[in-house]
Amino acid sequence: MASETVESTATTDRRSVRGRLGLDGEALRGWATVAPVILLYLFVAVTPVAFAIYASLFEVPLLNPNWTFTGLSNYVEVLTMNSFWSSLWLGALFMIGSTVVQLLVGLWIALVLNQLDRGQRFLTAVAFTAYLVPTVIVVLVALFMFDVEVGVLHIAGSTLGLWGERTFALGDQTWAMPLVVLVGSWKFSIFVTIFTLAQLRAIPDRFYEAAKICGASRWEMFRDITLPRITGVLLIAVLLRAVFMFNKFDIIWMLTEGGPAGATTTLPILAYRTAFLHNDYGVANAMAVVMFVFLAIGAYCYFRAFDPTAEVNT
Amino acid sequence: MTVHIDNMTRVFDSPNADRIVAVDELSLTIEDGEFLTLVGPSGCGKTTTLRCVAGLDTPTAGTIRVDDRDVTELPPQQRDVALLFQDIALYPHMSVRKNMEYGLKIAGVPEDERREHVAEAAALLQIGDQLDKMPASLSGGQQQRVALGRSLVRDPSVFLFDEPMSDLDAKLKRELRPVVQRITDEIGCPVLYVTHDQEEAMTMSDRIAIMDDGELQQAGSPKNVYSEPTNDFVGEFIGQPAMEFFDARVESANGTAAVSLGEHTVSLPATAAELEGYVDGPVRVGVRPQQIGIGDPAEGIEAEHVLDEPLGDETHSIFETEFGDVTVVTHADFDGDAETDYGLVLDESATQLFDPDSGVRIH
Repeated sequence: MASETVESTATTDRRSVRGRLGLDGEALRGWATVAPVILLYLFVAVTPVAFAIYASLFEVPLLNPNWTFTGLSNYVEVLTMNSFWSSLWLGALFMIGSTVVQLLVGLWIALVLNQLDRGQRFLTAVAFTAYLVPTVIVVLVALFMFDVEVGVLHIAGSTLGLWGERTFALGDQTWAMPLVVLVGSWKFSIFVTIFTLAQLRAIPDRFYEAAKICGASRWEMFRDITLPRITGVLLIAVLLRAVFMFNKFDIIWMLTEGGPAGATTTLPILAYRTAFLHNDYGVANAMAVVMFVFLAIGAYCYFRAFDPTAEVNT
Repeated sequence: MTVHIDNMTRVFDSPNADRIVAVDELSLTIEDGEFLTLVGPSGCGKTTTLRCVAGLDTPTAGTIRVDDRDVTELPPQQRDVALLFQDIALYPHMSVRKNMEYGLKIAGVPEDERREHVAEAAALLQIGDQLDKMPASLSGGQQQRVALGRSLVRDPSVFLFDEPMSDLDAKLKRELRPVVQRITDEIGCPVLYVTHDQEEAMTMSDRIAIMDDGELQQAGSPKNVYSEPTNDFVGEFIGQPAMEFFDARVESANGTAAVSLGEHTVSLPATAAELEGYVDGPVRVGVRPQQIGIGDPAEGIEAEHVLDEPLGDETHSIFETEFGDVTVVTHADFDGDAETDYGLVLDESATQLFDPDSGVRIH
């Protein structure tokens, strides 16, 4: 048995050496199967990222084909820019606020759906449609609901005294950010639900029955059974939500264009403004690269702290 | 503690409009310290009964009392019962220790006291060295020991078992049986043990209750239900191999009954009074395979040998007769042969007569 294994490894070695020389049919077939993906990845992901990093080293006026190499000066400009740091702060607020709201609401919806005996499939499908509504529609409806003349949410808020009767809430310094977070979460909370619901359904009833026999209350069952069983999937959902929301552009831009007076200017909005309104493509690229680095560091720390993959495996 | 089940009925509504009566007016008392086994084929209502006692299900009618306390409508949390599940239901995200002490933790028992209880139970169950492992790394038998420990440390006032051994292999079952008995003896509370395995029921119980189709058929000590079954269902269900039945006719009854069995007439112990109404009518003769002898065709029911199942100390031989296949417990050296004509001779004193329609024992 043992000698056989040794022999077979030896043959594989020899074969792979030939494969590296391009002589082996199997290796060729192997390359042929992975090549499309590699090429696609090169063109779709690696090239644009490399291009952005390259462009971040130049001064690039949008309407002038002549690029001037400026080394790291774009980075210096970005890191010394006041608006960069304030946007980073606003972006972090938006990211954390959105993630927390989406986690809580999404988990709540999942728990409720999982409790239903009847109509569970139908209501689940209904809930999931929120995710399918195009962002532009969500924004149009939201803008309508906050309309100063007829908006139902505007009227509700002004009746409660949250804002004045003639104040456009999304144009209000205090309210713009929380409302952008809420409108975004309306659409994306269900993402957390989709993730969690499948995992919730996989928890056997027996676990709860055994806990009931032990005298556990509903809260204790949630804390000791439900939560540990879905932690892994929640950690992944939170990571994805945080990354997506940090990079979110469309819904903020369509709702407020980063206003009023920069109150909702997160980093993607700032980068867009820098590139296309201030005509400074190089600096915008430097900003994007810095965002990427920050995200990578954040994600690394997150994985070190929680290790979501290990949770999912058990 | 004594558990009283009075006239308990549990009806399930099924989607196709037929109501399913899972348990039908069951009355049963489990005395303090008594080990009562509910046994029956799957779907007979035994697990539903247990779930009602546990509080995981609520009876449609009837009451369940523990001593004088009516617990019929109480949730399981307020019943102080322990339940061992067939599929074990250990929490995979908790260590063995955490699993075992969970009930105590919920009850607010301090940490050092919990450790003590767990250590004690683990020693009793011989899983002391497994406490820091995760359940998934244990074998099925060890997992069931842990689950037993989880129930045990809480010192419950009623102990329930829902077919806890049916997923284990025969050897593990035999190992675990005395463990379960020792532990339930030690706790000394009423025990309700549900199984479909008559061997488990016979070996462990103080009393056996046999259920079929939602109804209680008979309750009594293992020896009593074995030797004096109230109907043919109990006769067939209890005992291994199962009791054999022969359709016969009562010819006459004068002190003993002359019963025609195929071409032979045998004289069975039954009085005229007992057989009143059966004379000249059909009757079912039941006899255990241990009480059937092998002779030649002139002596007994004509039979053709089909196969032998040698068990070492005895052999189960299957014969084909006009009454269908009949299993006979034969001598270990018996070696049947398809060419020979055999005759099956019933030990007349060991036969029992049953009503052919209702299945009720005639005596």
